[in-house]
Amino acid sequence: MKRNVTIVMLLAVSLAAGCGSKSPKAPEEPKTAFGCPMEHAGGATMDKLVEAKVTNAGSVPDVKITNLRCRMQSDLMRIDATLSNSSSDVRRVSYRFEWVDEAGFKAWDDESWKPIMLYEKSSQTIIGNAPTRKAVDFKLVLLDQDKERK
Amino acid sequence: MTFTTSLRVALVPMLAAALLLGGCAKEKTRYGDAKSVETVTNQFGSTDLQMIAESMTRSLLNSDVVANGSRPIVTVQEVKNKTSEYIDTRSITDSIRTELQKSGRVRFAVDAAAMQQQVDELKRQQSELYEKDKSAQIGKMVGAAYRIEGNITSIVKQNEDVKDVYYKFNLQLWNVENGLMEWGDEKEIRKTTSK
Repeated sequence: MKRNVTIVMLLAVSLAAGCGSKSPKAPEEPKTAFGCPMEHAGGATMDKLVEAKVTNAGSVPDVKITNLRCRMQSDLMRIDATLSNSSSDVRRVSYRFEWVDEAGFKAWDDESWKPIMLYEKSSQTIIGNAPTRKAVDFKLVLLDQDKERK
Repeated sequence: MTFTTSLRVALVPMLAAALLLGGCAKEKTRYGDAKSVETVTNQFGSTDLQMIAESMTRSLLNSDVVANGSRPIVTVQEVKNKTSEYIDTRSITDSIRTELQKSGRVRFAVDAAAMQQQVDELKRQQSELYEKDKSAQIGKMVGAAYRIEGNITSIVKQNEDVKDVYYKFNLQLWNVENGLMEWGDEKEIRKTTSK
């Protein structure tokens, strides 16, 4: 009985020590944004990639990201994103990139919203260059600029 | 009392009340997004400044001089305002410098505008009030290997219904020693206001 108590106590001590010294779990795929470049996508489709990387701030009707590519350029991440306007009217949206570091934290301050005009039924490619080597992942955020805001 | 007089008597308090009510119209002050797209007028604005600074910085970070990792020493010279409106070009270069500095890929030497303050501080530390071995020594300042300069121009066209403004911001990086331009880029902005 006494031996059992000692074993339990020893186990508890070693567990507690293990918890204290353990470093936080590293991201599964450090230095690689999901699916970026596409050869790292592991068979993911462009739709999946866009779904993972693009968010809309509110609703952005008629405008979609139809192509997304990225590569490392001078140790900095470079993103090419194609915006397509399916409407028969000119559409104005704004966009910005949010840069994320290896641990999933914000790698840079908020960028300015950049307005862009898309002609009717047309596409335009925007380029995003990371401001720092710490940025290993990103999110592209779109905002409807035609919408009146209070 | 005639009809005209009575009408006047009635109108005066009504006008006064209207003025008072107008004066008391509730004003609202709210915080907004400092990075949002600003389209109050088509004059040079915060969005233009932010877009120019960001575009120039990101382009410069990808230039050969900066990308090779040697952390070149740069000084910022004047950006000439060749537009017809007042633009604080110093504010644009300050933003560019801050973002470049934050990237850790460029170092900045004191520029011409801040030189007097630098010299004054150096001289101040030479007085007998300071410990000699703990004060900054004269003759240790480092000169910049590159200088940044540029200009901003605009074309304004207007008719009865439409005002169109086109801005072009140009920035260059010059090698101080040999006078070669090592990098250059420009950012164009078009703003149209219609009735």
